[in-house]
Amino acid sequence: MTGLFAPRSIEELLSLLAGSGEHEKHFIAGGTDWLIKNRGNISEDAVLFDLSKIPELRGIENRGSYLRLGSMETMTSIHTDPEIRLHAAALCDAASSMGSVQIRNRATVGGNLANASPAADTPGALAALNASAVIFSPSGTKELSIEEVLGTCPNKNTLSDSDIIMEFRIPVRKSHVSAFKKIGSRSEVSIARINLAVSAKYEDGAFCDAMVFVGTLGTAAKRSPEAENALLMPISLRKEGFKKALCEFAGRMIPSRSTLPYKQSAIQALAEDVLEMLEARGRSLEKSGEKSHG
Amino acid sequence: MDKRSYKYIGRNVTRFDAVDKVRGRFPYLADEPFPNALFGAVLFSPHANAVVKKIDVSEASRIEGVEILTYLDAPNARYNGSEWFPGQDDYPDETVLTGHARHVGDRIALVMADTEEKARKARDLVRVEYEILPAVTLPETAADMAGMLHEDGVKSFDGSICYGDLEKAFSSAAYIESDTVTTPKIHHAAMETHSVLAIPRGDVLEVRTPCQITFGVQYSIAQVLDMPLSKIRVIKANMGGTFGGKQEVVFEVLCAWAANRLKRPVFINTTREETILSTRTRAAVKGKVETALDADGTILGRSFELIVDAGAYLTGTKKVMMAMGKKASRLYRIPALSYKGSVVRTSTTPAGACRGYGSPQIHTITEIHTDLMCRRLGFDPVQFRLKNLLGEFEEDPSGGANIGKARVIECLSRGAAAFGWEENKAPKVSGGRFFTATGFACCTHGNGYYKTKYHDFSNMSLRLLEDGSAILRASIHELGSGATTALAQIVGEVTGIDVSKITVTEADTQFTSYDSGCQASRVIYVCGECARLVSEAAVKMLTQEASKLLDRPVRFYEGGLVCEGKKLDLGAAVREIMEKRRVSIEVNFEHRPESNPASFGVHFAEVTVDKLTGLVKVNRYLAIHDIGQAINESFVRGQIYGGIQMGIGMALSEELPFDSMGIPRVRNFDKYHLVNAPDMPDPEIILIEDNEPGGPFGAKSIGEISTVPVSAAIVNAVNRALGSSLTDLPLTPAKVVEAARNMGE
Repeated sequence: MTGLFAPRSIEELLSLLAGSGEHEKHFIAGGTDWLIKNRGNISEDAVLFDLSKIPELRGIENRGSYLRLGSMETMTSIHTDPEIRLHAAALCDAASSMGSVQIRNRATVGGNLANASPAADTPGALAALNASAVIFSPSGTKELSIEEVLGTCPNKNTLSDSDIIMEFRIPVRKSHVSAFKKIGSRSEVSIARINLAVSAKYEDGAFCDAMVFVGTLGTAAKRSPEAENALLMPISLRKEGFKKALCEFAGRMIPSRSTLPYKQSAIQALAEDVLEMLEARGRSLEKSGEKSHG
Repeated sequence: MDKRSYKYIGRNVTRFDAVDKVRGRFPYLADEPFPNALFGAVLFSPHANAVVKKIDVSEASRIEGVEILTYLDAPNARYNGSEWFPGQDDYPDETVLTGHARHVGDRIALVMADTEEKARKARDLVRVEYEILPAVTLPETAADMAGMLHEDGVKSFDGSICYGDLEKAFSSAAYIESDTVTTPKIHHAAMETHSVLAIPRGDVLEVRTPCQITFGVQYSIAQVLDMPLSKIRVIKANMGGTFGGKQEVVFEVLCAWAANRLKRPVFINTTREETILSTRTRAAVKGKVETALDADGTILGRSFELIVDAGAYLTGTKKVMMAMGKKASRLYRIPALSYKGSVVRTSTTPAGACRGYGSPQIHTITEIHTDLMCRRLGFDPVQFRLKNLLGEFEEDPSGGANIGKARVIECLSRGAAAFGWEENKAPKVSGGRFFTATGFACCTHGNGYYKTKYHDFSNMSLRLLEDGSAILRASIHELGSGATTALAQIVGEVTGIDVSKITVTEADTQFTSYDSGCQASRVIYVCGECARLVSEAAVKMLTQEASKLLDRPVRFYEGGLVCEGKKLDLGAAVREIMEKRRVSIEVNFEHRPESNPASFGVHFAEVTVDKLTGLVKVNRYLAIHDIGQAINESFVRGQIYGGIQMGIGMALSEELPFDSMGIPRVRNFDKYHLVNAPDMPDPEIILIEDNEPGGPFGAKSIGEISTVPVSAAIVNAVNRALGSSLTDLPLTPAKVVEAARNMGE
């Protein structure tokens, strides 16, 4: 018979894991992807682990140099959190545009990464924010980049059966701005056809230290060095340069895909919109900085 | 009668089922398991065109209590599930189960068990070996490949309509303009998936189904089971939406046959994927239309050539194709017309009835063509239409019914003014990539079957009860539109009885009288008028009987009985008549309409097209309808909102594509994109209520027509925004991006 465990601590999870032997294991975070995939076809001897009741996997807090984000935090708790909004706007954008209200109330940021759909929204935002994932396993904890967790295969992460994504650490960086946007078939409740996440340092209208990630081009977060370089261009050339670079990047990533012409067009719209968001956020950052100094 | 003095007509009476629906308590068939019923899981074909070589049920039947019926057990009787009366000549090519699967989702076997879980599990254990044949996926080549899909080898099902001197019209024309438009195969997307329950009860087989035509279900079952109609009792079950998807018979015959054979109740229920793949769809159409005009832009003649994709079985698609042709002469004055339609079968999900029964397709084709033609010739699209639209009480030159009190010219001119057509007709650009423009489209639809090849009448009885309440026994099928409440409003208006004390029944072939079914936009115009007339007859009987009782003249005045200036209580009068005269106040009435006017609508849409993302946002929307009289305005508005939602989907995002092997690319709502609430405009609605003769209190249809002009209005707006000539629906982002890329080239 299928078994379900809802451990109340990491310790309890570990002992349950150890006791479940060779049984097929399923980890359920918010369950929004899991249910669709597994409804009606779970093997009889499978063991399910509900991770949502483990307090160590919860919480959003500012620890000075980084934000600690528990992996079981939901999209709703993320996009309504003031610290996230302030220091990780791209993640806020991604969490608020994912799925429907009902999905956002259940879906978790850890589950979104573990599920590793190429069309996922939050992994790209986390990657652009230079976040790391803290992975717990019986042999100890390790810190991996988002790209390392995603690997190169769509819909499959690189973690082993006993690895648990505990939390994310998002660096708190002065004068940095970030933004995320996606394009789907509809303005809401829609899976991304393409998405774009960017973070950069903003100074007097110029960007530096940019990180640019694009989703749906094979995996959920592909880094584009050419687009990062384009953001450093003089303001008068920046927009066109950024658009062109992303267009070329898409061509490089999925050269023979039939959807390429569309994605190349749509990514230019994303480039325009995300750049506009970054500029607006940069300006308001400077304004608030001036205010606090004055 | 002065409209303002109506007690119920035009009022927003709350529908009977509102509270239960809002609370989630309204019971659908799948919510109430029937005692001792077997759950039936249909084994659907995974292949588009394949012959079963071997079917092995041994493993599945080892599960205790499982019953399996395969195509080998099934009767060979062929039927056409779109027929609703004996003798309709729709070609029969469907069987309850088949050993030759003709589309992904075709029915091979029925696996039954006491629980759904067990039935589905056993179903998945049935081993089938198929010989896979080439799929027939392109309507253009379907006729040549017909023998591969159907042993009958019938290449196509053709039909034509023509009148006037077309040759002369085209030879004398100053302009001849032509366009080809394609409309997609579409899923109805009713919230409730398909389900049916069959219960053997002695010599009567009872079937409960959320359907639109109980007498049609009865007839289909009778054909396959060889039972008298009187022994098949069909009860309309509560329904969670249809939009035509439940108009034809799909699983009813299979379920009835299985229950009858096993002598046990059988319940068939389907998932969303099963409903998408194996029920019915809106027929995809490729239509070429050519119009001959004189130098001033007056239409001289028009010709059509259409290929209509029926999917795997003919179903009602030939009827749909002919219905399209019959609408072609009822919007504009067209002195000469030739309409040629060819229905072909492909190895894809069958088509059938879908809201508008061909009207959305034909008007999408002609209204997109009209706009493109006007642009090419330099005519203003409003002026062009005003010149050619029909006026009131014109005849339909194709032989259809008189078009009635047409108000389409008012719809267009009032709409153009209200929407600011003149000010907004030039496209605007903002931010380099956002193109905003306005488009519109006109349309017409019918009000029943009068003067078509199908009979149209309705039979109801009304009994006034001894407490002053009333029951209208009618074969109504409440599809979710509020029809039963609307009919109660009509009865209440005539009899003066409070609507809350009136019960309107739904169809039950054993107890309610004959009616042609809730189809063809006939319910308000035909059934509503029947309800009005039976109510008048009941009032007449009541006053006569009351006069005899009191031996003094009793009149019906301002909604009540009056005798020599004194008001009488209706319930007391009924009681006394029953007691003292031994007469009950019940009348039966059969209404046979002698008219079938056109309803009209004009919709305006302002859209903004993002030329980089290809996404189209509908900013503003206006729907104007010539509906004679709203019986319940909130119901009318509800129909229009929903119609707009469906039409935008057909224009921009909804389609059921298949690959070259006939495998569906879309099986569920993850890839089937309906327009959802955040993307819906907040439509403005204007109703023109000018009393249509022959309808109850002047009312005519709205349910189907409200979706008819939408797609063309949206496409015309996009084409105006981009200066494009997009005619291949839906205008997906990729198509829009490509068109935008070619702008100015």
